[in-house]
Amino acid sequence: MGAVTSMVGALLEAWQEVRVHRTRVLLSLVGVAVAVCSLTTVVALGAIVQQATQELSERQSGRPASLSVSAYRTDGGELTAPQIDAAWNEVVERYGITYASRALPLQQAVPFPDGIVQVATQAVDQPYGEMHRVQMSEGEWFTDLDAQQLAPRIIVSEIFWDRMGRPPLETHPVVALGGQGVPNAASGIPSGGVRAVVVGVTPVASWETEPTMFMLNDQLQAMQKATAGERGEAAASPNDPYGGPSMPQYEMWVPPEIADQLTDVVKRDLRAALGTGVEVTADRRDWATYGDDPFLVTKMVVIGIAVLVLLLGALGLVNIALVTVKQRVREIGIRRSFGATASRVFFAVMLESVVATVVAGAAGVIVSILVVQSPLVREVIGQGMVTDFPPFPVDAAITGLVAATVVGAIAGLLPALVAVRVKVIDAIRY
Amino acid sequence: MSLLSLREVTRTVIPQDQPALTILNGIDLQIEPGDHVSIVGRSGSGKSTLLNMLGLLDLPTSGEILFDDRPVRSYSAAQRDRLRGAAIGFVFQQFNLLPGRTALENVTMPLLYASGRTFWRRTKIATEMLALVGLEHRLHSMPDRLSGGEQQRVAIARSLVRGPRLILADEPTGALDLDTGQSVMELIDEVAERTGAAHVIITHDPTIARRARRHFRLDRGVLTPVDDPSLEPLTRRDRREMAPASASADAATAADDGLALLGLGGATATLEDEDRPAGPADREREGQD
Repeated sequence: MGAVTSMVGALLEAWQEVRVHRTRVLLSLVGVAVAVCSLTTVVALGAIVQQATQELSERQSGRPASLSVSAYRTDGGELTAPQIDAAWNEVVERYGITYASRALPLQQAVPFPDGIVQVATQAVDQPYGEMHRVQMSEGEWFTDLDAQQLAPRIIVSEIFWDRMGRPPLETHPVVALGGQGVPNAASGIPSGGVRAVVVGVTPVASWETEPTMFMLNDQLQAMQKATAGERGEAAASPNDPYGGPSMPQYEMWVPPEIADQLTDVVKRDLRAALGTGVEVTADRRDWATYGDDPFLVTKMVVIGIAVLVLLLGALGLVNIALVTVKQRVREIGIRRSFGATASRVFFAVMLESVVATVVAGAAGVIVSILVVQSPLVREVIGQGMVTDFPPFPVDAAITGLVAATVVGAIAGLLPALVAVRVKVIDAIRY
Repeated sequence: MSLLSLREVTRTVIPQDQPALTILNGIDLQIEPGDHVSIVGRSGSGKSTLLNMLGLLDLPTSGEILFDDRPVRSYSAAQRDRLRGAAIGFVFQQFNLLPGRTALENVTMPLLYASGRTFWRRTKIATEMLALVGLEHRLHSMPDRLSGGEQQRVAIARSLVRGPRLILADEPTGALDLDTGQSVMELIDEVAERTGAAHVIITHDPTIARRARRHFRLDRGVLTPVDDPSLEPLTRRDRREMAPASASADAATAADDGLALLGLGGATATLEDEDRPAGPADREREGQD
């Protein structure tokens, strides 16, 4: 009971002190609020930057755990894409792997109003979008039905779309892949090539300048076959369905906990399917394989900056707290004469500092949330490349509040020690 | 049973690089419940140090202080603080109200150090106490909005709010005009009488001191009973006559013996000391006070 009343009494005292000296407290706490806001913001932005880096990495090399599979003959013989495709499909089906895709980088000639441009193209399978977190700004990613369409479906980047004049996707805008002419003035349809329908648009990072696009692997093969026929050539070689020397990469996204086991199984099965003299490699290339914590350096830098900012705030607070305690010697003397024990005075002065810094910390955290959640900051940090913006990290808010409390306690310690050394009657009489 | 007893209390300080300085010298004082004592002394006579002792804020270098017949030295520092909060109320010359707090908050302050029902009912108790000193209409006034007399009334209410058994008033009228000072003293006397609290007035002013039943003069650290605060110290016989009914004659004898031991020899020595011009040691002593 006595402990409860002591605690409540000390809290009331601390709160009264903060209320009575609100101007001084507010001024002294601006530094702490700014420091906590900075700390929380830096931690929160760190989480977003980490997410952005992670997503960027996942766009490049897949999500954890992504297996990249390749096969080659060790005896110098030729291993054709259809052979690997067949073995690959068999393995994918056997183990019920939902997310598996081939990815073939190539260049496609695309006629824009201002000329033909060789556009960097990725020929992929439908699951690729999910596997590589492909973000859409307009339209949708490929569906299973798209592969059956006679006219190839393509998904273009914002730059590509801009160069087309940003036609509404509902109008099913087309481009002539491999075509030579500019769009017909009357129909708006480009002449020559294979007419591909744009079904989606992907955002671009601020540093990208060239148009890019995605198309489906099966449709690429069909298109290669068709264009070879149009040119009066023999149909594309069965060993060269992609119309060039490139071989696609084979990727699968599997649960990380079974990745190692599956790697061995996939290698074994593919070797068995492709026959002797074939070596199969299967490696993880996602960011999670880069080490224990691939974002450790980022985190350390962020924490270093945050601690520095907080230390500066704490120093300012200690400075002001020490000066004000010296001005409050009389008040402390009065309290002591009315029964405040030395420990109570110590606790009250400490608590006053803690109460004030917690309030300042809460204010700092709120400002930080508003800053970090603002669309402008998200745009700047995410560069339009972050799909899953993490919610404001709770640990950042907790870090901010804990830091404020610790700073309050440390900053209150010195003044509290000064306060308990006050000589009561001297303080009151003079 | 005495409320507070000082026996042969001496307080010595050792200034840096200087010989020890005796601030209080063999003080004997017994305060009974409901007692009314005045202590008159000039600046530098040791009044502050004596107030420290009476208020349990300091311990003597030698001698003994007993509160309710229990040696104060047997209490821990925190126990002394709690005892002080519960049993002793201070009234200061400069009122010493906490700035920025209303009259009610000032009177509530000592109750923050209480426990149990007293703590939880603090606002009601403080309101009643302010009504008792006639300030029920100024509950929410800030100290700077109150007159000097009103401020001292708030200070008195604050000193009484925990129902102390001993009120220590340090120059309570020093910052007030004559009339207001008189009315404040009447209030202290009245409230003390009503609550049965003993009160000790430390003052320069013989007029205020005369209101007490027993008078002492503090001079150069020596406390001497006097018949009239403006007059010379009493003789040994006078002191026996003035001793409170419950106090034994031993106290006076002991006080006398203490003076004798210190070689001051009572009245003569004190008179001689008073007539002596203040030297460097005296100035240092004033600094200590």
